[in-house]
Amino acid sequence: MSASLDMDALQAFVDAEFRHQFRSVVDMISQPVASRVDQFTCWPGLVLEATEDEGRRLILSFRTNPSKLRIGEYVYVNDAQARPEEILSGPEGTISEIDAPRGRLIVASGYQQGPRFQRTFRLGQRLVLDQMLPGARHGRDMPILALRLVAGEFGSAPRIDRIRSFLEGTLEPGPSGLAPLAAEDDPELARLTPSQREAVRRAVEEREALIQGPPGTGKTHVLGLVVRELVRRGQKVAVCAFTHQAINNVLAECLRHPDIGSVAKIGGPTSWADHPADPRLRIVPRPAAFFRQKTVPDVAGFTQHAAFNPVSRALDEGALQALPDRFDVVVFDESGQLTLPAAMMAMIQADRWVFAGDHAQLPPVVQTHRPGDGPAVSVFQHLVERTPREAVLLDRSFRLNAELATFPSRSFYGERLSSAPSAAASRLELTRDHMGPRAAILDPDRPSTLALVRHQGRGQESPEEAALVARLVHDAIAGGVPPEEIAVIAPHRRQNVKIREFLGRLGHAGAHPLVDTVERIQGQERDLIVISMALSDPDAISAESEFLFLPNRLNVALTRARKKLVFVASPALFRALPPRWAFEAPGPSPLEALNVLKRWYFLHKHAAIDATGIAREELAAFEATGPDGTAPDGPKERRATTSQ
Amino acid sequence: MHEPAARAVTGNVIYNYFSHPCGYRVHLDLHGDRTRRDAPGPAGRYLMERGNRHEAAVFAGIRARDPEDWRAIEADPTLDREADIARRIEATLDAMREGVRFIFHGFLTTLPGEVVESRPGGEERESPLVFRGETDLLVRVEEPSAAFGAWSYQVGDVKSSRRARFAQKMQVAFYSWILERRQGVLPREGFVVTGEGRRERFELEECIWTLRHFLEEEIHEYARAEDVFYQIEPACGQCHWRSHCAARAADDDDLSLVPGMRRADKRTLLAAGIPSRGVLREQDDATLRALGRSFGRKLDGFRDLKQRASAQDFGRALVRQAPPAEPGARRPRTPDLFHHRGPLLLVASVPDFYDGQEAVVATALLRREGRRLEGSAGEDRLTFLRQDPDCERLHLFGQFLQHKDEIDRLLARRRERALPVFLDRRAAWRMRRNAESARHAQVLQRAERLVSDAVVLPEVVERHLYLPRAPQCALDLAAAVAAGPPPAGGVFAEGPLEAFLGAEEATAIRARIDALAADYGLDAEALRGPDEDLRAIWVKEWRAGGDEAWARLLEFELGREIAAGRSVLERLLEWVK
Repeated sequence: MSASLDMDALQAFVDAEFRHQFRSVVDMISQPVASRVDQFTCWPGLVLEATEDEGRRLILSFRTNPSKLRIGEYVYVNDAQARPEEILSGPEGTISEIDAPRGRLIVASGYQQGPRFQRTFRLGQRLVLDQMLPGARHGRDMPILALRLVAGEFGSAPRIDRIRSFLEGTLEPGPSGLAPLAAEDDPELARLTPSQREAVRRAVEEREALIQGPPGTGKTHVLGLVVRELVRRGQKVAVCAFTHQAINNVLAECLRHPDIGSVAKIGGPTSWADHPADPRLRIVPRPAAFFRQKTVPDVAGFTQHAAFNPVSRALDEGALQALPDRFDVVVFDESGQLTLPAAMMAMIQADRWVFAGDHAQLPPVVQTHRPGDGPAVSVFQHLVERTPREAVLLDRSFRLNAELATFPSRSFYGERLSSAPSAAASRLELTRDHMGPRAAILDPDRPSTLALVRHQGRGQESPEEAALVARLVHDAIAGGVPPEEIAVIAPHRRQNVKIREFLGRLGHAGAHPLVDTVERIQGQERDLIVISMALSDPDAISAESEFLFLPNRLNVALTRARKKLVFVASPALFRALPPRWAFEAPGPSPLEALNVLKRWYFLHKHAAIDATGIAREELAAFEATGPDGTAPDGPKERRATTSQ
Repeated sequence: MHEPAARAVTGNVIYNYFSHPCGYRVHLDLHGDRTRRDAPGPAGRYLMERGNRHEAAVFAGIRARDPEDWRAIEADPTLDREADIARRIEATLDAMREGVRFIFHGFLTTLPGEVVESRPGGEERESPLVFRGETDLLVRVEEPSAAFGAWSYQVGDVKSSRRARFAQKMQVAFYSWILERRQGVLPREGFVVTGEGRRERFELEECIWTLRHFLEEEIHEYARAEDVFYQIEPACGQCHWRSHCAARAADDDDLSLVPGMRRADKRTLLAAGIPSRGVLREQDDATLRALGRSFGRKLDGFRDLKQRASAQDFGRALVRQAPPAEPGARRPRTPDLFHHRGPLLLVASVPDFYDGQEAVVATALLRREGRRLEGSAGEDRLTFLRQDPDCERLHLFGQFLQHKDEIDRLLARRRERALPVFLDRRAAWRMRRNAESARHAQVLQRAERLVSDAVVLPEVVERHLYLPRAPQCALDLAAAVAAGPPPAGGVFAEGPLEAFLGAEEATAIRARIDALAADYGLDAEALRGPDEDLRAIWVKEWRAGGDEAWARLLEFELGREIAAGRSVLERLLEWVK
């Protein structure tokens, strides 16, 4: 099996993605504030309270964040009265800190924007943030340069040829030449499951390795040991991922091992706020500075853009004299979310590669293609499905209890995933005496519960579901589940905003429990997960079916819970069909995707709980109290009466 | 609760539902007065006839290959319908027990008590419905079954489409689901024999859960309810109950007659106590805005729908006032019809009936002079690009891109670019899909640029006017924008065929139409209409036979559409200030 790389198609894909992003931001910026807020690209209602660093950092206060803007996001900062056509000329900055409980936000000035920050803003001024246009250099030019480099347009080199033949599936597997793994002599390696040990062995002893890590199977732990073993054998290791969070997780795991002498984190938001206080760790904000330094740490973590920085600079300045030679191995984490061009940008850094990821979880975020289709495929999926390489599947989940592991194992992992003995029988610990009829929904002995709420015509927001979910979370906390061990997942931000509003009224306004989209919660886990799907309008469901029923998204949502999963939805969701055009378009069949959800429904419908009455009662109570109401216990008393 | 006896649920009910999910159609299929169904139109009859011929050819091919081991379970017109069905069901079972390799037109049914209506929460009861149907093909496979021993059967359906479609797969899945009850095992696969004679196989696991959900839950609601929700939509054009629904909607002054009224909107308005267009028109704007907000609709909420309902009342388009331009305001960066100073490239097209991709494209270049458009939509100024029947689909799209490049090269001297204006709401989507399926990088890249820069006329009109009818393409728009209904020949008809094509060619085309009409027993006049399906039939006939007369007819039709588009543009430029 081989997969020829269509470099033209990949370039067109990169270009189309960039244009789409650019166009969508431009279109949004020309809208009034209300429309921008409606699409979550604008954060209004900010007041400048103070400045730091001689006016280069703004400290702003806020009441709520109605936008999707997060830490690390590049934004335009403007006066609240700015007209739409003035937004693009506003000073540019980066969100460097969001303290939601205290309503405090810090925006740092962008590159060469310090003086504009200093002279533009005054204390007490009301400001608004808008999502910035994507930069052409990062979004388009660098990936296309990488594609052209790998295509051999700037000359030939053994590494370039290896990258191409590896991705095309024509590179024969071979030994790495490093000392073999001696697992029996090492207590940490001895404790690994057989599949984990095999993954470490392949990463060390073979030239290239693929590790598939389903949810909770200890992928990060395995990667930490892979890096440790490589460093023990004198290798310099680069850790690369799509997000800084994923990189930081692997680096933190590396720091557990005393054999690793030095670790560097390059680029990204300066606030790796909870990084380990370890003298071996060095944070270098700018990639260029890191690649100028002569000393090379044992392990360095960076994104693909930072990895490609020295190459793109060299190409900018004339010619590329030589490929980077600071690292021996690049270890990719979350490579199921990394596109082929993005992977190539980092593969340039070394001759050997270890890819860890899971193509059954979320694919790369793309707008112009169906997820996973054609050039939008992730590098991990490409290697597993289109080349002869075989991935080691980590087959024991230390997260999911036995019941929660059954469905994902059958639907996504060929029945090869099982719950580790330590997790198999785990149950949520909570008291339910105070819950009334809601106790059945949170029953710990039914790890997976479908709660149906009958509503109609709802789009991305269902207040009924939001009220029920908020009350269930409140119940769980009152029953003894720590807020840090609860997360709520909804496919749309609009529903998340509603749930947060109701949770706030019940006294849970902080960062915990976490309420977010599936995309934001991949890689995390909680004891209790509540999913709220919100939609009940058949047209809206049909129009969004590709997004809603993507099996990978469903897999991620269903596998975040360690002990208990509550799936809240309208019955209309399960009768939805994709739009007709979806069946006639090229690419994977949407019917297959739909079937995954419907199969889950059939497994759960006999024990489903009709929570319509409870949801309506809760919503009525919220509506009766108003936004600043403080009577969340009112309906509970009424409910107690009703249940008697 | 008393439940009226329903007709049997057949493969056609399943096919129709999954072609266009309409619960009311299912209800009418099970309980409606069959004498009130519409007879198939010329397009429907054409397709049926074509399907029958294809099926006969497929069966003949099978019989030729395997002359001994087949059996046809034909209908006996001398028997009563139900008695005949019972006979055919038995004959099918006998053939399966004997292990006949190919069974044509086998009849399958469920038995009373075999199907359970199942509800969330564990509630179950015996289904009162009977599920049965006539398969095209039952094929023996060497996989064991409880009923027949060493063999079992798979279901195949013969269709004239190029690829197996969703509804066709669901129909095969439905027969397989019944077959499971007869042979004791669900076949692993089903297949559709396509128009090109290919067997397109698929695993039943791919669709069985979707089907089960429909058969075990939804269909019982539609069968039982006395007043199932209905909605008048463009897709109703294919339905044999359309006259019934149209009459009912007129009687009810139904909300779905308002352009842009989605099913969810109608449900919301009904729930809010607004049952008809008349009541909607009388509603207070603030009430409708609040209702819209409460259901997450943007800004104006349902006020927009009220305006459309009012436009229908006046019987003409109402111009939505554009916000006054602020002094010093920048020009929008995205393409905008009203700010573009260069020429407009009007693009009309006809898709292939099944593939949904362009078969013919016509363009006309018009230059704006104030609010007027210079240039002619006449024959001399139109450019027609046609898909060669033997070439890849990409060929036509490539031609179109090349044509646009040539125009831009000429305009580059004046530092101008032509702004493409698609006259059909779906054309932009089809072009993008065409480029995607070609999987050619440069074409994909250029298609993305072209389509994202283009203006789609029905969308612009929708933004600026309140129309009495939902516009789909330029011809609809022209009729809607003009006051009153379109005259018989179309609002912008340019006269008879002769005026456009010349007497000789027109005569040849008329002769070809008459011949086709005679072949299929159709009304020749009906085949000359501007109906979209008929245009697609022209494409099909032209592609099949390569007859130039059909191509000229298509060009004539697209010329009309370009003229209509131009007229709409002129009105827009005049009205929207």
